[in-house]
Amino acid sequence: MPFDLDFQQIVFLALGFVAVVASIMTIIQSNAIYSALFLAIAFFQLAAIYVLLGAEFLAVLQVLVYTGAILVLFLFVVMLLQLREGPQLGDARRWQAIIAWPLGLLLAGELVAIIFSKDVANQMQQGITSGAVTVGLYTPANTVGIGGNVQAVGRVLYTDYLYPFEIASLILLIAVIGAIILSKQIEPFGEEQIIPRIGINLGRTSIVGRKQGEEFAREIAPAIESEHGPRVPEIEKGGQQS
Amino acid sequence: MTISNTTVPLEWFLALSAILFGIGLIGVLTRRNVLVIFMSVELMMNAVNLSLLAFSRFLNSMAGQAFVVFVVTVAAAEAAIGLGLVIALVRQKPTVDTRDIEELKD
Repeated sequence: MPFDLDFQQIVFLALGFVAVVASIMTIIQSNAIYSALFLAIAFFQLAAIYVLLGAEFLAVLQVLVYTGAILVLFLFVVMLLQLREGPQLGDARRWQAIIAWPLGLLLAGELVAIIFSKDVANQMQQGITSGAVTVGLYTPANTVGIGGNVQAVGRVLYTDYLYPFEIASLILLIAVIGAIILSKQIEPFGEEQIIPRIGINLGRTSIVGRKQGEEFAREIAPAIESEHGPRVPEIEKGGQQS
Repeated sequence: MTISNTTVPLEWFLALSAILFGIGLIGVLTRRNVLVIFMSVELMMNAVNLSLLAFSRFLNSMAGQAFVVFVVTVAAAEAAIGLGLVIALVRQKPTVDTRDIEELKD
């Protein structure tokens, strides 16, 4: 019976519909701020679906980490950069957009077709009854029995997945250090103090750029000075006044 | 005997996951704004999380939920690093358009 829906199914369909629409709006909005806000809507729908799946802890985590931290970070960056003119969807690289839409829809359609044609749930049920698929101990009743979803996740996370958990904390530490180093304004010093005064803005570029700047300061700039006179009289680096 | 008390079939969750993954993929392929590409990647990660949680539920296993915790961790780290890169990039050259970011081309 295709239209014999119970309450949970109706709720799922509503949540899923809004999630899909919000996701599509995310990728077709030209303004990045609207994209982030639509993505927040999609994430809230997914959090509600997680509750439907009995993963209450991860629903809270979804709202706190994804919408509360990651998306707010995105919004901060979008507003900080203030690059208002968002690139329109596929107005350049038109061939890429033309190919991408059918390919993406084809992939999603294939996945959905495989999921429904293989009858995953029935096969899983058969595997469970034949013993090929092991079923975990955390049935809804057992989960309630040990205190709830948070307790169940904690048990698994701090026993079976203790080492991955520690590695995850290391990843977060590296991410913190990396983010600080990447977004730190490097103070100019030494050669870099001189190079901007010569006139090329190589204050903080890659190593290659810095080497080019050194070469410029060592060879090209003296040549210019010997031809046109000292452009920057206050250079006080030994060997550069020649 | 049913293995779960969710009346929504497993296929529906997996289908929604696949659709969201496809939308995220289209976003990555078609958009040129680096930030929107990042958002699409986050959307794909969420699609994967959804299928992990669905299987976790229907197999009565907590492993999927533990995996989702790790995926969220990695997503947070990725967002921090990625946005740090975007900020460093915009300091070099005030654009978030992937067409204009071609310093590594030569």
